[in-house]
Amino acid sequence: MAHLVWGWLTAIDLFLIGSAGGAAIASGAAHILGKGEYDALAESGAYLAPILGLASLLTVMLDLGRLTVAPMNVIYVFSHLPVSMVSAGTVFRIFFIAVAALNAILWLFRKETLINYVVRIICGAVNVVLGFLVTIYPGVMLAFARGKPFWGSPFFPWVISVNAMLSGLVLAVFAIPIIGVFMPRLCPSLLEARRTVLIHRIPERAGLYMAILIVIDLAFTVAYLTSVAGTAQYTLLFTNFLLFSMFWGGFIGLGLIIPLIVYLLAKLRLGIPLSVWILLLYLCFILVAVGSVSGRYALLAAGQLI
Amino acid sequence: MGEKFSRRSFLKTVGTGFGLTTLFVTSGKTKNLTATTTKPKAMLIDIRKCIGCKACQIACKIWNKLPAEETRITAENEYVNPPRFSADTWCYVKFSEVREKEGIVKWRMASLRCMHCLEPACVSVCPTKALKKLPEGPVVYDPSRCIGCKYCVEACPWHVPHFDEEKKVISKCVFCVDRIKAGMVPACVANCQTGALQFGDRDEILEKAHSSGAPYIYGEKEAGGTSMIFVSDVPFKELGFPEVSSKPMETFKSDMLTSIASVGVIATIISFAGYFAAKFLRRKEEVAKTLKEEK
Repeated sequence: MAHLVWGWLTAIDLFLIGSAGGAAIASGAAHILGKGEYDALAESGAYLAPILGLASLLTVMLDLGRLTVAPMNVIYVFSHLPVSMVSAGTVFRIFFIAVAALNAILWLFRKETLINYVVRIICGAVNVVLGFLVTIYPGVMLAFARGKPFWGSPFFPWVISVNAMLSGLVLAVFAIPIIGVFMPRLCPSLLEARRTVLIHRIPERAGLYMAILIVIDLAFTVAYLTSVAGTAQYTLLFTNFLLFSMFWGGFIGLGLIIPLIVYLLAKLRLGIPLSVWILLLYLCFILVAVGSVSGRYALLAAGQLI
Repeated sequence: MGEKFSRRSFLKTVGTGFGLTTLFVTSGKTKNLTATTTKPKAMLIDIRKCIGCKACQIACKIWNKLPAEETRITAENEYVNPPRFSADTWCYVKFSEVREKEGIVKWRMASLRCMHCLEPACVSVCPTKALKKLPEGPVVYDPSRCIGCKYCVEACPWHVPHFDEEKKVISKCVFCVDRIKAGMVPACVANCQTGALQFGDRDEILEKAHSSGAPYIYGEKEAGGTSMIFVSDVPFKELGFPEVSSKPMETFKSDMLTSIASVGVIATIISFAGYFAAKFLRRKEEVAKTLKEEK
């Protein structure tokens, strides 16, 4: 593989910030629309969003070419607002991480008071909006890169954004039992979820939304690939072995098709115990996350070659 | 091998000596080009007149103190050496083999450098305003503001800016801004022996391009217009020039944003329609089931 200007670190950064936004959207939606039934998801998403957001900020800092030479130059990053998408994106990120952190604190020290509840609802709603912005801006930023026609499609930011929502949702669900085990006293709703039937209901419900998002993402991917089919970079997705495996095998196969098939089979049950399907769904959540990283790298790399 | 190497060394020495002499001679010339005015400047590159001597390439290296690169001539890049822009190569001559109708092959050479667009993509995307478009025409770079995000590298339609991983700095042609400000012509123009490179006000250069009789002009409208105006007797596509739309960068961005938003709105409408259709069908099924049970 030739030297890439934006490589693995950028792909991981795009995955982390997208998943952070996706987790925030899942958390906000579960809290506002879930009628208290999905508080475990709302809580795990609320904790995950700032953690992933901060991790993405660290990754993007490490990816900067002049951090070791002129570290103080980062203060100029807001100089070109709102013209440069990097400037705009940095503002979105910072506001998002700040609100996500506040939301997580509110969840961590929550009291069953009306004020606390209302503030959490407001914070969750703001985080849904900011979460959406951080899921879509990387795609818009790449679409504005005029020198790379492979990214220059109006469908491209939506492929990235929907996939980010998908990876955020599955990571938030996946985190429920993990956080529930390691912080049971701090997170009563997660503990409760772990002990009760909710541990089944949440992944089942999340599985449905996962399937819907997979279908939407597949539709956007088909539209996107059709719109860039004339570019030289498009052929690389078929001719370059690494990109072929990462895009078709990792992103489409492992990350979208297999989880969708497993979910549809789980709906049919086929006489297999529910607990086995739940385990399979959790496995699918991992596949979605792996496919998400794989897809981002493949799309990022293919756009820069030739 | 030894003979080849010594010949190359000889040519390099002669070329460097020739370049330096010309630079010193021309640096004395004060043509009063732009010292007092800020009219945008441009360069005319007449591909019909270029003989591929690479004097422009050497002059650029000398004036900008750019080190030589170890390169290889392969079947793919033929005489193009170095084969592309890099942090140390701001100007190079691209050789193209053009096939004529009766099986006759002819060579065309094009001296390439930063296009110094009127609305540069690199300037538009730079988050720190480290890249700037000067009123005289050059697109220049200020390392004291750069964070190394490399967005400019990805944004340029001609793949001009390069990030020097060793020096940790963005590198590209600056249109010899120091020479222009001093009322001189860029080093590459000063060294061109055949008049293939000419320098002047953009209006005059465009006039010259149109009156040159060349059937093909490149750079007048591409990306909203550039400071490099190429004229040729063969289509630019055959010379490997990228097809760039005439939209200026800001129009390109606003059009793209509108398209992205439209896709989002349409997708949302379709999703909601699908959701309500599914809900309606499910309700219909439920009603039918209840009726059946009642019967």
